[in-house]
Order: sequence, then structure tokens, then C-alpha cells
Amino acid sequence: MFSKPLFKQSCKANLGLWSFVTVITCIILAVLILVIGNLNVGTVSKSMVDMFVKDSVEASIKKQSLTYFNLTDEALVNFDDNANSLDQLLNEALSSQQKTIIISFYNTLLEQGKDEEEAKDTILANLPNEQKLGVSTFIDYYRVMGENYDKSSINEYVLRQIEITVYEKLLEESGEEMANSAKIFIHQAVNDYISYSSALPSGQTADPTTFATGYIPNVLKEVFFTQEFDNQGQIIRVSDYFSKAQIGESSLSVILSYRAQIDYKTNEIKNELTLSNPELSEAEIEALLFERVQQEKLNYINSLSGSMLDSLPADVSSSLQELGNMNMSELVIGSMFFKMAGILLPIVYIIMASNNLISSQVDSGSMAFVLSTPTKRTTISFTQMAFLVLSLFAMFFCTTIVGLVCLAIAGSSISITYSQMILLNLGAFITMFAIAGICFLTSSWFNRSKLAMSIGGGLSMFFFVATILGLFGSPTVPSMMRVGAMDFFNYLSIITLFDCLSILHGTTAFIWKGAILLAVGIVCFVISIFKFKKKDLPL
Amino acid sequence: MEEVITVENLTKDYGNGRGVFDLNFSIKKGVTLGFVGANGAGKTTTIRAILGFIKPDKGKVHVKGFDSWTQSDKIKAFVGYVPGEIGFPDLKSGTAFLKSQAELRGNKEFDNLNELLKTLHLDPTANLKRMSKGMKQKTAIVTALSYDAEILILDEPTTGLDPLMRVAFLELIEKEKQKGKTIFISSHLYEELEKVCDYVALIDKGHIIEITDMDKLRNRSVREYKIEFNSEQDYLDFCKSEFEIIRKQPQYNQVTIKIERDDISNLFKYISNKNIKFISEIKYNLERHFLNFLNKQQKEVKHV
Repeated sequence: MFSKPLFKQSCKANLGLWSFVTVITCIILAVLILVIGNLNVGTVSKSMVDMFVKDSVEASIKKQSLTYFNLTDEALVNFDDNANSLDQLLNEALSSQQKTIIISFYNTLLEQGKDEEEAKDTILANLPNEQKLGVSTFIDYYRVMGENYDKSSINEYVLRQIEITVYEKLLEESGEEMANSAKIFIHQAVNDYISYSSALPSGQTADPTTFATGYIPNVLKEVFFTQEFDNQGQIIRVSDYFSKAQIGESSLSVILSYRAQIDYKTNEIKNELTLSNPELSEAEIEALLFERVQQEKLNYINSLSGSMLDSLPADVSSSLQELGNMNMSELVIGSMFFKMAGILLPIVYIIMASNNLISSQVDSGSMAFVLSTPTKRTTISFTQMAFLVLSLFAMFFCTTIVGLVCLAIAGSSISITYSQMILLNLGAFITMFAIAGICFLTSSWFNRSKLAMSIGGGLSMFFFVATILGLFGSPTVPSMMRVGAMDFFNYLSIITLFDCLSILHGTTAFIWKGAILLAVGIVCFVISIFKFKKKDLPL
Repeated sequence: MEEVITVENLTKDYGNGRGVFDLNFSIKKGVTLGFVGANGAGKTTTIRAILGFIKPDKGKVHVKGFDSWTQSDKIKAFVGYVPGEIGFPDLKSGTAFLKSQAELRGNKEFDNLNELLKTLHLDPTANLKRMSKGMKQKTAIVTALSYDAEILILDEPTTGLDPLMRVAFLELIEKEKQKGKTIFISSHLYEELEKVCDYVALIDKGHIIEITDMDKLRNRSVREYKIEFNSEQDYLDFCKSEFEIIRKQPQYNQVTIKIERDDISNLFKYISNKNIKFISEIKYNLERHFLNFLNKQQKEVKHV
């Protein structure tokens, strides 16, 4: 079944070609891995990723700045209003006598066994309408704060109420966590506002909007600086992209332009409303205006804070994103090497070697010398097949070793593992096994070396070219450069069954595809051996 | 005597009248059979069938009892073969080639390599690719003869050899014959075969037309002479004599006669007192012998 002398003869005849192809292929692989590893071919893609990340981080800073600004601004304005009116109620509208009467009445009612609400309702029922609101507010205040009417107690009471308002509002909109943190934030903001206003020289009153404009960027830059984002499984630290000052700057600028815009819009809408609805009272107009302005604010936040990618058409932004996320090692090693550069020379080797091994020997007549010795034809074709397959195995064994060594040198900059490298080489070997089967079959089938070479070689080259063309339609190539229709070529080439992506992505599709390739090779070799046994030889 | 090669009803039809049709012959041990015929007559096809390179359409070929097609590898143990068209494998030198062949045969040593190389003036260290036609031919001959194979099958072994080498080669074959080898040698050169063969088969258009026993041909009792007379009178007188005249050419006063070997002295007696310009023997060689057959066949074809 196996003839050692013939194997030796084939080795001698094909050694030069084999060494050349193996060395060149190994060099190509080594250069590709080391170049990607050390020279960072992926810089462009990395800066693209950086750009998108930075952009989305900035968008998030802006959006949150505005959200917090709005929240704080509203809370502070409310606080100012409520604190002032409460102060007025407690210390000016109600005399201390009135307060004492109401308190004692309320307490008496409680002692009579009524609960708090019933007691309050009883008191209010005895009062004229215009006093009801004030007394109700006073009783509510008394229930919480007792008989302390000084400024800080009032502030504390109002702050609590605002906290509750903010919490309830956000609980509905954004959930408990957000509501809680907003509550804490507002608490801090209002306290800071109080100390800010008390530090002002007497005669000056604090403007909540002005305070919030300066306050928010200052607070947020500390908060953001330590924040982390999750961008498609990758943890991104804001501090990697922005300094504190930058965050403050960006936040301040967005707040300022927001304020200018809203001020302008508010005026415009107010004028418009007054002109178009002369029959409405000022209060009604204010109500309408408030609603419209809220709407404008929302619109503005949405328009300003969208990231760059969000502003592009969907397919453009997705292709940009894809380009940014493109895995260079996958493209260069997976597709460029194992489906193109790395198999071209082995295919040439297969075409030439399989031709040398059978049909060229029949054509030139040198097979006559082998067959004039007591060597069976099946022994000849089996030995030649064994040589072809073993030489290919040796070739990819070399590329595997080179690949592994280069991976070790390149280190972590390449996202291919050692086992993936071994699998890729094994896959390439099995693909070459199938192609070798086809070439060996034509070599065994035809007596004319030219015919065998042009059919077997032509077919192999066709597969190779179809793979290159098909690559432009395959998902490996970023969608920007992809021509969908080219995917058609992938269905014409058996090299497509070598599924690099499946190996690199850790799926199992490559196993059954590889099994098909193996089967193709085995079938071709078996037919070759039978054909060579049965055919007439012109020797 | 034991029959070494038997060919029964061998037919291999390549279409258009090419191929061999219903060949039957056998070669006994120690016999040298020559195989002669024009280009494309079917010599190489027959040899391929004997060696089992092609599958006969019909019929069987046996070599030492083994079927050529199904037991092709077995018969190679006895056969040394010189192919008609020589191509060498991709090896560096003739030495490497000879070594590789020996390994394929399973022989560790060459039986009579050095003697062969000396006889044929062959330097086997030469580069195989750059060898001239003659050198290639010699290398192939050395390969076939160096194992002391019982049977030699030589397909036009002298092509490319210079005349001196031809002589050396024929001497080699003569030696092999003396060792009792069975030799099958094809050629389109009659005189080569005449010298070494015991029998010569003529093949034309795929059919064996004649197998001639060379001993009989060499020892033929009938001779032919051509005589030209100086005077017309002598010529006319000779025409009336009892000698068997096969051709007359009155314009030259020439006759061609056929005569038994024993009667030659009578002829010389008769012409000794005649005025003759020349007398020459027309050698009846293999070529003439076969041309007769071929002409006969052509005539038959014409009649049809």
C-alpha cells in the first residue's frame, strides 16, 4: 500500500517548491501578526471608537447637566417662593395671638379624640373662605415643626416639602433609585443655596436661576469625573476622556445656551399668547405659557443632547459604529490571511505538486519506470496521496508554530487565542486537503498534464478568486465597503466552508463545515485511487 | 519449451482503425522476438498490453502465467522494460535515478551496472534534465538491463543511439540472449532485428501479418541474381535457357533469375563463356520478405 522509495522520490522532487511556499507563507503570517500587534494597524479604528465614546459621554454630560439644572432651578424657585410666603404667613399675616388660639383649639380637638385631619377640617370649617388656605398651611406647618417660626425652621420645612415633591415626581418618571439620588441632590443644592443667600451682603437677594447656573457645573464635574459607562461590554471611565475643568465647561456652556434659548422662547410665546388671546386673564396666560415653555424645554434638551451618532441616518450611524468596533485581528488574520494570502501559495503548491505526482509523470512517461518495478498502481497513488497530504500537514504545522510564536511575541494586543490559532491552521489544512483532493483527482483522471492542471488548477483558482470576491459581500468586511450581492460568490467556493469567523467567535458551525471539506477530500482521493487503478496509461 | 509470454485474441480498439485487433502469438523461453511495423502499426499498444498499462478490450495476455492486467505488479518482477518514449522523474542525476529504481525494485545492488555503463559509455552522474536523447536512451537501457531480468521488453531501444552505440547495444542483446533470456524487441529498422532476433513478427494496421523464423530466412535455398549482358544476342539466348527468369528488362539487356542454391554452379558454367557486364546477387533480406507480404496484402485490398 505504501512505497517508501517512491515517497522519497516525491520528497526530493517537490522539496524545493514545498520549502519555498512554506517559508513565504510563514513569513506573511509572522509579518501580519507582528504588524497588527506592534504597529497598531487598528489606530484609526481605535480613534474612531474613542470619538464615538467621547461624543456619547459628552452628550450624556450635557443631557444630565440640563436635567439637573431644570430640577434644581425649579426646586430653588419653589423654595424661594414657598419660604417667602410661609415666612410672611407665620410672621406677618397671623398674629401671635391668632396662632396661639388656633394651636390651642387644634390641641383641644386632638385631646377630644379626633385625629389630625379631622381636627384640621373642624377648624377650617369655622373659618371664612379667604382665611382657610393660610390656616391650613399653618396647621400643616405646626404639625411638623411645632411653634418654631424662625427662618431656619421655615427653610427646613419648605425643603422637606420640596424634597417630597421632587421624589414623587421622579419616582413616577425614572424609578426609585433616581428619585432617591435626586432627593439627596436637591437637599444639598437647597442647603447650599441657603448658605449662599445668607452670605450675600444685606440688601441683595439671591436669584435661584443664577445660582443654579453656576452651581450645577461645579457639582456635576465632581460627580461625572468618577462616573463609568458601559459601552457594549466595555467599561469607559469619563476621567479617561475629560478633565474636571472640561466637564464643568461643557456643562456650563450647555446650561447658558439653554437658558438663553428658553428666555427668548418664553418671551416670544408670551407675546404670541397675549396677542392671540386678548380675552384671557394674565393668570390664564401664565398657565398656558408655563405649559408651552415646559414643552420647549423638553424639545431643547432632546435636540441638544443627542450624540453625533444619533443625529446621523440610522444605517450610516450603524456602519460607522461597526467600523469603529471592527476587530482588526479578525479581519487581517481571519480573513486576509487564512482565506486569502495564507492559502494562495499552498493552493499553487497543491496544483503543481499534485500535477507532478501523477499526471505529469504519466505525460512525460517517467511513470513507466515506476510501473516497470513490482509496484502496484494503488501503491503508487496511495503513496503520492500520502505525500501530498503529509506535505500539506507539515506546511500548516510550520505556520501553526510560527503563528503561536508570533502570538506570544505580539502579546495581548491581538484578540486571537492560542487555541484559535491552532484551530485556524487546522481548518486551513482541511480546506487545503479538500482542494488537494480535487487537484489529485484531475491529476489521476487525465493523462495529459496540461488538461489535468488546467481543470484542477483552474477549479482551485476559481474557488480562490470567488472567495476574494465573496469576501466583499461577507460580514467580515465593514458594511461601508460591503457589496451585498458579492456574497453570491461565497456560495460558489468550497473555501467558504472554512468558517474562520465561527472559530474566532467560538461557535461550532466550523465543525460540520470542516467535516464536509474533509469528506470532499476523502471522496476525491478514493475516486483518484480507483481511477488510477482502472485506467489505461500511455506509457 | 515453456511459453513465457502468451497473447490470445488481444484486441484494443482506439477507433479509426488504430489499435490492435485479435493478436495471437506466444514467446517461448529464451527466444528473441522482433516486432516490426510502420509507425502507428500497433507495436507500442501490444507492448503496453503485455506490461499491463492498458486494459485489453478483448483477449488476455499472460506473462509467466500471470495476467498482465490484473497481476501487473507480479510480472514486473521478471521484466526489464525500455519505454518507447523516455521521461525521467524529477531527480538530480542519473545516479540518483538508478538508485531510486533499484529501491523501487527492492534490489539493494545492481547486478551488472558497471559493465553496462562501460559498454555504453554512459556517465550516470550527468544531470537528468540536460541529458541528450541518446544519453536518456542509454540510461533507460541500463535501467532495464541492470537487474538480470528474465524477460526484456524493449520498445524501439535504439532510437537516438549513434551507429557505434547501436552496434554496442546489439552486442549487449546478444549477450543477454546467450544468458537464456526471453527478449521482445520492437523496431521499425529491419536490419537491427535481422541481426539479433530468432523470430520477427510483422504487424500492420493492428494485425500480425507474418511471423518469420529468421533461421529459415537466413538459410533460404533460393537465391536471386541480376545479370546484364553486353550483347543483345546473349540476352535473347539466355531468355531461352532453362533458368527461371522472374524479371526481364530488354532495354538494358537485363534479367533477374531465381535459382536453387545447388544449381548456382550450373549458372556460372553457363555464363562463363558469355559476355556479361555484371552479375549481382539480390539479397533476400527481412525487408524484402516483409515487403512481399505487404504488397500481397495491398493487392488483396485492391481486388476488394
